[in-house]
Amino acid sequence: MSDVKQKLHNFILTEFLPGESPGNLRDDTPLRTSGILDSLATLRLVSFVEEQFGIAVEAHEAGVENFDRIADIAAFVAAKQAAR
Amino acid sequence: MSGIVNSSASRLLSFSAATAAVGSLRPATAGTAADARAERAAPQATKFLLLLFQLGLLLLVFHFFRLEQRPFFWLACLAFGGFAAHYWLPFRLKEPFWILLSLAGAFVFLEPLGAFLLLATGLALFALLCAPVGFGWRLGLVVAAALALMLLRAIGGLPVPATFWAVFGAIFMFRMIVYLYDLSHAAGKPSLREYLSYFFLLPNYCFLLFPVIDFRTMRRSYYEKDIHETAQTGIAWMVRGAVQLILYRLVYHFNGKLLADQIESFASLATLMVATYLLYLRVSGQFHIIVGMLHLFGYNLPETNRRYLLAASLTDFWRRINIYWKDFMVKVVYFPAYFRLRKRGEALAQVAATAMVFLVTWFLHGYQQFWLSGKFQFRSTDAVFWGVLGLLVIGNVLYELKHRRPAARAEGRLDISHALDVAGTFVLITFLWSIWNAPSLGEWLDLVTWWKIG
Repeated sequence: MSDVKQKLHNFILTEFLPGESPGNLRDDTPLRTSGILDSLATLRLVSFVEEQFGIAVEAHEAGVENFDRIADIAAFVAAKQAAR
Repeated sequence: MSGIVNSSASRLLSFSAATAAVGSLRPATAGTAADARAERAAPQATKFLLLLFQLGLLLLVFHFFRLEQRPFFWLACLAFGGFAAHYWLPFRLKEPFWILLSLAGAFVFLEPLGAFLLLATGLALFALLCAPVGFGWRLGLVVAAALALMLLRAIGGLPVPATFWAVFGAIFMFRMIVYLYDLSHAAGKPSLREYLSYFFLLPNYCFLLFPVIDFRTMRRSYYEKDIHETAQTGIAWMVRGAVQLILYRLVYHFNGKLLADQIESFASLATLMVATYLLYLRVSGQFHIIVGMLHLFGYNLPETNRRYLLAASLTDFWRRINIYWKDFMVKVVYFPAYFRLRKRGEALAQVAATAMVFLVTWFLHGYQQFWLSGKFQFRSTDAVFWGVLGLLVIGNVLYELKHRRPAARAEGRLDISHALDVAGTFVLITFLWSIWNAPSLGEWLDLVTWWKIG
């Protein structure tokens, strides 16, 4: 697992799924569309991503296409970092 | 797996299992993504027959319980029959078939002139969206066209079938906002295929109250999972919807017996209020059936309502009831407002964004009423309902900002505190709902002070 994915994995488990087995949170587990993350939780995740990976997220980028799965978030972070 | 499992974690488990065979489409090229979807659409005779058998049983339930009005039964026949043909088509023909079925549905459920006008107006709007000018101009053209149509709707008297305006509104009034928002952040020209498959949805001709499906979620969900899993989930949701519609009928019957002028005690008042709240079963039942039908055609859309009677706080209620509306508001109002304001402080941004959501929700309910009935309705009871609900949710948001939500709750253990939260939320929502559904504040006050009148 890449460093970005690992950090996201740890943050989501600690903040939103305490007590859950790490193996049950996969890179392709839906977070938004399954109700695990609501809008407030997504904003916390967005803040974490911005601080941790040094990128700025726009309102339209915080939707399900970028923030529904760990794999999507990691791809989004990589794209933003590459565009800097 | 730990012994401590909260509700989110339980969902996580089921989703982990369900998505085991699914990789993200995002990093893949268009070609490989299409290949992966085609693999998920591969037919299997035994599984198909099992799905068809369940759909046959559902059709019998719809028929014997006479659910909804007569066109609904024919809609179910068309959708289930369409599924049987769609299932065996090559992948490249599946979505065109779904679009043709949905377009043909307009001529089955509407008068020919109404259906023709609906398609013509829809295509004219698409032509405006494709105009060879910048997005701002295209947006302006669509807004001008929408205002002109609203004016025609308000003036009336045109030789247009009565059903046209309501169905046109049901199709375009909210989804066009979502579509324009997504288009404003997308590269390239809009696709006619995506446009038609998003707006002209077969169940929309029978259900005017329709979940505000998100465009990108719909596109992304298309064959993102094996069709048998997707269709099976859809059938489960249609069963849930049918049960809710049957329960709604009981509640409606009961509600009719408890007319407001027969309230003679606190118990009968409380019963009337609960029965009024439970009338929402019709909306949630319809939404489950609508999205369940779309699942049959490969759209693995998320749930529309999630056990809203068990909400443990007002914020939780807002997250569970009419989830598509909440997501619509988050996308086009909450996130844009929050991201614009967050430099001024987290609490201010969240409070202002939440307040805007409730203000816009209140306005859009009046706007919806306009398309469905021809008149804007901004009643005092609407203002009280959305105002009080908004203030309470803002209070809840501020509380959650200061105190993190209790993350884990032992499953199966009696949790008195949680039970009290659920009961309290139910009572509060029931109370607010009775205001919302009253013809006026005066009549609601007469209702709750029945002893003065009686």
